[in-house]
Amino acid sequence: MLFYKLLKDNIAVSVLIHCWLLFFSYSSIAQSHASKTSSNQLASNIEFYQASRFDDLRLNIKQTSVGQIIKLLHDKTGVIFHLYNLPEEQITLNCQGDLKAVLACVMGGGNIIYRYNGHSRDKTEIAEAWILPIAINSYPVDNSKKTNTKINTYFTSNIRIDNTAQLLKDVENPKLRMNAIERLAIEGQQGDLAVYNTLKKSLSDSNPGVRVQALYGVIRQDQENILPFLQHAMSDSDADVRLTAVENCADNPWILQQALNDNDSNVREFVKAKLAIQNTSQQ
Amino acid sequence: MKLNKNIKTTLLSSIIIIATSYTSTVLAHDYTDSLKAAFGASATDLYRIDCSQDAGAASQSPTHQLFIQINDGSAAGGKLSATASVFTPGFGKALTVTDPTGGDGVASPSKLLTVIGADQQDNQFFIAVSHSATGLKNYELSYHCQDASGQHTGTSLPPAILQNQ
Repeated sequence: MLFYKLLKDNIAVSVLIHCWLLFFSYSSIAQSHASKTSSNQLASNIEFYQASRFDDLRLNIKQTSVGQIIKLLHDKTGVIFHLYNLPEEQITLNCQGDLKAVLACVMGGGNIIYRYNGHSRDKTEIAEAWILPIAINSYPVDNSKKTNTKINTYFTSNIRIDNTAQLLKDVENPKLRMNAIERLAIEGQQGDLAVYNTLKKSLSDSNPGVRVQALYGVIRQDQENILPFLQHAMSDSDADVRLTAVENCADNPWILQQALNDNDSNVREFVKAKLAIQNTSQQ
Repeated sequence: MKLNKNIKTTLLSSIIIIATSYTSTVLAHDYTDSLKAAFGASATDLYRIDCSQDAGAASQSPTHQLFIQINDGSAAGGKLSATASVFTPGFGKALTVTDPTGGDGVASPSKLLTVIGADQQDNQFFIAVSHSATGLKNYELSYHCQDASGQHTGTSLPPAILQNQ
């Protein structure tokens, strides 16, 4: 009411408001024009050939930033891209192949995670892609058996550890086993081989709750060598276990890629939320 | 006199225009996790938030309060709640935020839990996340340590996990 009273009482104020509104309208138009101009300029730096939507793409790129290339690919394929701290320098190269090959060419490899369109016949149609920075643990899982030399090799006389191991062996009640492993995972001394081995054994427990806590405990014990455990967990029949792997995988692209195409919607939605937060924090 | 009145009116109008067009975005620490179905309706995640003086934070003042909000990402598992608490020897206080509808993209209302007694540079808060029914539940927890004026002070991310269900 005060606002309208002011308007009514003072014509100068009305003029001021109209000028302000016009200014913002002009800014929007100018911005739109600028983006159109830059789009035309962008088009002259990239030659793009497309036999079909995702296959047989060819890009001849001259002095163009990666961000602009991705924008073009979005315009041409309809794929939604999520970008994280892309390099700003301009590049010149030629890329050819399907969309995945072209992206790998543009990004120089990189960590790219894809979500496929569930409605397509062969489920290989890419709907969305996340282009991540180089992950800390961005190497393929090595399934060869390796002994962990970093964990202390002394055995403790911790009564709780001995009791827990015995408890896990004898007790049929899954809740009791779950509680035991849960406390061991949180309170077990890091670097203790007895704790580590007890948790490892519980990774194959029949109860998914025990497997969840065991996985979490193993990750806490030895964060440098968790990839084999995470990879194994991603093939677990229970969504809780797979979710625990995704929660603790940081930005490992292989785990995130698998999770994005998980058959459980909770796992898929969790990884999307995780990637969205990562995107927000890096802007 | 008339000129002074016009200037005052114009100035007041400008302030009103600016105030109504200004939008602020609350920046908070966001942390995603989940309550597993295997632990049933009693599944509870428990975290410790460490507030401290951080040269990179917006404020170097002592921590006065914790901002807390929760977003339920799953329709199953009933209602999701987060209870924040703070303690000093002999005393404690807590509050709860609840997201009534999971999976709708709308977070719970946010709340502020103030410290007990005088503001301190270093402080610890605890947050327990739970739900009202069995089911796997994804969530996003937003929290931030703040000084008395709402500016961000040093806040631990990720939170220390005391219980993970």
